Amino acid sequence: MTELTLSELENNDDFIGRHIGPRDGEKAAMLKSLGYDEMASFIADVVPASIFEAESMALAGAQTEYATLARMRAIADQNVVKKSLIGMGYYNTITPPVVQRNVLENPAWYTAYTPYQAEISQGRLEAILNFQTIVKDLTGMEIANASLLDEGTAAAEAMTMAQRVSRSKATQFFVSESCLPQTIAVIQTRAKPLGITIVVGDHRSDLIAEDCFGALFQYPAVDGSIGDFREAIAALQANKGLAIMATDLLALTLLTPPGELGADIVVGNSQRFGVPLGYGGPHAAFMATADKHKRSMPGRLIGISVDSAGDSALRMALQTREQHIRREKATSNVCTAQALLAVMASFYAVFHGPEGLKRIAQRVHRQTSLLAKAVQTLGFTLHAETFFDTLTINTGDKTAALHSAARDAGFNLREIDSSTLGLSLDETITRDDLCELVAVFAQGQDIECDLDEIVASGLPGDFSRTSDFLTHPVFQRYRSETEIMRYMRLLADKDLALDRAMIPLGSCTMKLNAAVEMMPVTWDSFGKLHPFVPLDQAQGYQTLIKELEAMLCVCTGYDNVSLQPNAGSQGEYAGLLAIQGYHHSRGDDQRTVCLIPSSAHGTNPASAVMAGLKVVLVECDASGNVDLADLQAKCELHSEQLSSIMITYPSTHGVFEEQVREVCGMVHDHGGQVYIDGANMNAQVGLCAPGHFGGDVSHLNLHKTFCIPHGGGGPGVGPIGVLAHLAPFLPGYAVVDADDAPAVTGPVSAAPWGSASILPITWAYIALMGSEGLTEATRTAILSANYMATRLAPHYPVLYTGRKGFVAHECIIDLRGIKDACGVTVDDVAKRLIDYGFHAPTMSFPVAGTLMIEPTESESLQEIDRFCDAMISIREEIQEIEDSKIEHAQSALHHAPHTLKVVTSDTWDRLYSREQAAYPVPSLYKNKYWPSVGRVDNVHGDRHLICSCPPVSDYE
Amino acid sequence: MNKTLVITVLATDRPGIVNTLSEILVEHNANWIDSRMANLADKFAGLVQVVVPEDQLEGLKKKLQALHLADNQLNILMEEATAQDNTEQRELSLELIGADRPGIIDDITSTLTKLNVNINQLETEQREASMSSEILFYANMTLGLSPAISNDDVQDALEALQDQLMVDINFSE
Repeated sequence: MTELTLSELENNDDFIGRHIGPRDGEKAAMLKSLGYDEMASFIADVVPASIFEAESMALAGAQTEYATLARMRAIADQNVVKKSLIGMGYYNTITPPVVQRNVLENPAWYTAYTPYQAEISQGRLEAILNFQTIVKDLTGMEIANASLLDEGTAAAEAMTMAQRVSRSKATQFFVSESCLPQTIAVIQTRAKPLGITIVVGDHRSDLIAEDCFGALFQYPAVDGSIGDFREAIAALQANKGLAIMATDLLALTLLTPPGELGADIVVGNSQRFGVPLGYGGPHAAFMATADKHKRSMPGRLIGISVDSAGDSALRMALQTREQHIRREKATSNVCTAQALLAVMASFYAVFHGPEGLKRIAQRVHRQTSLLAKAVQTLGFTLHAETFFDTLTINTGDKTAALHSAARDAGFNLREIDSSTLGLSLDETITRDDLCELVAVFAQGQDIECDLDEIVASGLPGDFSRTSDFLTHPVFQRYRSETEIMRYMRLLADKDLALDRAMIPLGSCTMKLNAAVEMMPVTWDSFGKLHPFVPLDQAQGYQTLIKELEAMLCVCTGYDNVSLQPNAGSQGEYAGLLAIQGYHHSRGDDQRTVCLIPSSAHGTNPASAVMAGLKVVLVECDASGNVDLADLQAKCELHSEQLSSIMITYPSTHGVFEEQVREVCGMVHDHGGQVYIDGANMNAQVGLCAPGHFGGDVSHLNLHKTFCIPHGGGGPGVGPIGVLAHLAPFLPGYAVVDADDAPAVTGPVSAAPWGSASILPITWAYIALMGSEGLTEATRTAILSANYMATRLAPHYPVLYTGRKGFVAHECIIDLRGIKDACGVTVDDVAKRLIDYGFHAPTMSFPVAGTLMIEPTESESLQEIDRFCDAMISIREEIQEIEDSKIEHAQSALHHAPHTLKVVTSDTWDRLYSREQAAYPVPSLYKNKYWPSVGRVDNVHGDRHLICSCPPVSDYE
Repeated sequence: MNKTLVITVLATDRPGIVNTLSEILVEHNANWIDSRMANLADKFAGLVQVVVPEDQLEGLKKKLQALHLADNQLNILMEEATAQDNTEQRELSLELIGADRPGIIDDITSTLTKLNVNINQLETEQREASMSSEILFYANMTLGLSPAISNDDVQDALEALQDQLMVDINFSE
């Protein structure tokens, strides 16, 4: 018997086989089916030699889950968790334990994809519909969307929305100086490339209505005061301008909602509804508006429709607003938003109900009133007479000492200047906290802390809320934990997420989100930090951030990374701003043309327009690659004005374009910069690096390649990597003063490091896999995609292939011929796949009438084969229609997906059997997923648009 | 005096249709002013506006009529028209996107007719939406507006349709 070494027994590589699906023997069989004996020669034939890098990445070796958690714990322990009363849009909150355990920590919720396939997403669609209803009710508006990325960008989106909607010709946008400072900073960054002039000032004296197409007010203001904006709003609207109010959901349980004050658009952050601070995110921001403006509202929108049986069904409505349809005409590039966090906030409201929320608000306000009285008794004056939860106190020369005493007592107060400080109270404040705070301000003076005394309210009488909210039964019904737990389970069971089956969505990279990667996210030492705490309290995060930036530089070949953007779309935007900052610094302000292949993801042209660029499309040749002749012509035509090209690599067609170095070279020769969209990075990590083969900047999708779960439509993280010459132009930081902060471009997100609390997930993935594990993951992803393409090719045409007929990590199968021959559509195949227990691949992107399939490295050979078997079985069903054995309109394909209700009905008048409908292959008897609704009628949904919880009568 | 003739051609598509037509026009000294041509479901469909000297008009019409009768794969219609004086009208170009459904064009065109708006050009297309494969309706139209109608009136009227159409106004003269 050969003895194993201690090293081998330690098995540090264990996690690699947990993350990667196919076993070694299976990989060998898959390679054999492609004609190869070993992986290296296969990869050498797929990845172009001109970009392939044989050397391993300079990353540490793989670590066990146990060792990784220990290292993560050591990092987290470097954070100091105090109670932060800094406010400024971020407040301590109590995540109801039932929400934490059953939603945030539940893979059924966090491994789901964006609900494009409505039939298999009714659970999260309902939770988000609840979210929309909550926002709509509390803000007093007519329609609310399914979340935005953060309050700062939501306000910026409101500004560009106002510009589209307003019939005013003015080019100024007014921002009240009492808005959150990070919001003001993000808006200023957003306005600059669009030629919008931002005026910041006092709305009573500095707002000239005729000159503005819109204005933003904060209610309550950052200093806590509750302002009266009605006159300013009226003046604005009389001049065709739009009024935008940024607000606080908890305050709105007690205050007159913006809808009743004349607001046209309302934005804010739902973080304090049970979502942890997370050092800045992720949080679900919200936007609400009037029904007549809905076409211009960014973000996703959930609406009610009916299914094929006439039963109520939810779906994403009005997709014609979004970037994947509107492309360069889109006014917003938002794609991934903050779905999981919106779901959490919606359950918080379901958990507490309107009376519970009001009670929390009243308690917070009472505590603030008591504290206000105490500090005034101690001789301090308040900045404002009105307040909800925030006090701005004139503390004169005692300011520094008070901050210090507060920190010693375990609190961070808001540092405003040398003679003023602020504090915001929240749901977590106890009686002890209050007395300690009073003692801090007392500084040794004797003062009684009588928490039961009667104090004057700080809320202005004429803004006291009279209207009801959350009257829908869903906010009353689930009050016992048993009831809400079962409601959460009921909704989760309706959805098909990665915890049940492969989600082979091309370009989405739905890979394993391992439990070990998720665990640190809910640790207090990561979750309880306010984004604006003093940096010395966030050393754990700072260490993690620096290490992660370095890891991502190694993976991409770039020199610097910014983790600030909250989604791939935001990364694209930040990357283009960096490019423009670079051109500007060289006096090249005329460089405003951005070349984009016609096959690009919709966010590319949408982001380019947001960055003030003019989009010029570049054609693809017959093989689906960038047409070099067309590129050359366009480079020459626009040479003086050329800013950049945005390419995706491997292409959105799933091919390693051989000529990528030439493409980059051509653009560089004409003075342009190269942006490489990193959505398809899963085919590159460890084999080639965009920073080495011509990219100047790329964004990454950490929620694709790097294991952050998709959450049902967010959170995402879209960091950008840049070569050194672009580093000075990375996004700056709002509020936080850091020595190494970039100093040219403004911030693109409200928090400097974006959704910091989910960065541990990617850090952990990279640490667990190590250099060789990551590279093997990439190889396996490419192998699995090619194996699938080979199994499917005899049945469906594979649209584009590269050298030697191989694809990269995804393949496109063409269904257009089938549609022409017998009318079966992409939709039919996608819906029939549901009957087989699968989420459909990506539909009609980048080519209409096709399906794009990406297995990722995490899927086992069994699951991959199960999918191929399903597609082949479907092809046989299609053949029956082509052979006229059954008409398309009578077929299982046309009637898919089949619900349990339909299949068990006493009436069955179909020309195929119930068995054929529900169990087309025998393996389904062991594991059957039932969609909760039949095919959803999209036309009906857009024609009768309802975007909040329906009246009770619909349930009866 | 010149006369304006609008000719429509519908034929099973094959090479040479346009050429056949233009030869006849040249024979009669007719000027090809404006046209639209499309291949729809393998049929050639064309609209041509020509200006022809008055003395050649009857000859041209007879020749086209003969062609129509001789070839049963080719249908030609023609009508005399007065050259329009559109100087009063303003051109508005816009794009529409919405969920496709039967009757959508009917609703759009009757809405515009109610406003007394001329539809000068209309191109429509059905396309599968990316990601969800819903069938979307795309329309590009150029409208002739009298001074009494504003761009806003047109946009409001179209947006009032229940289909939640996205209306993008591209330009107006």
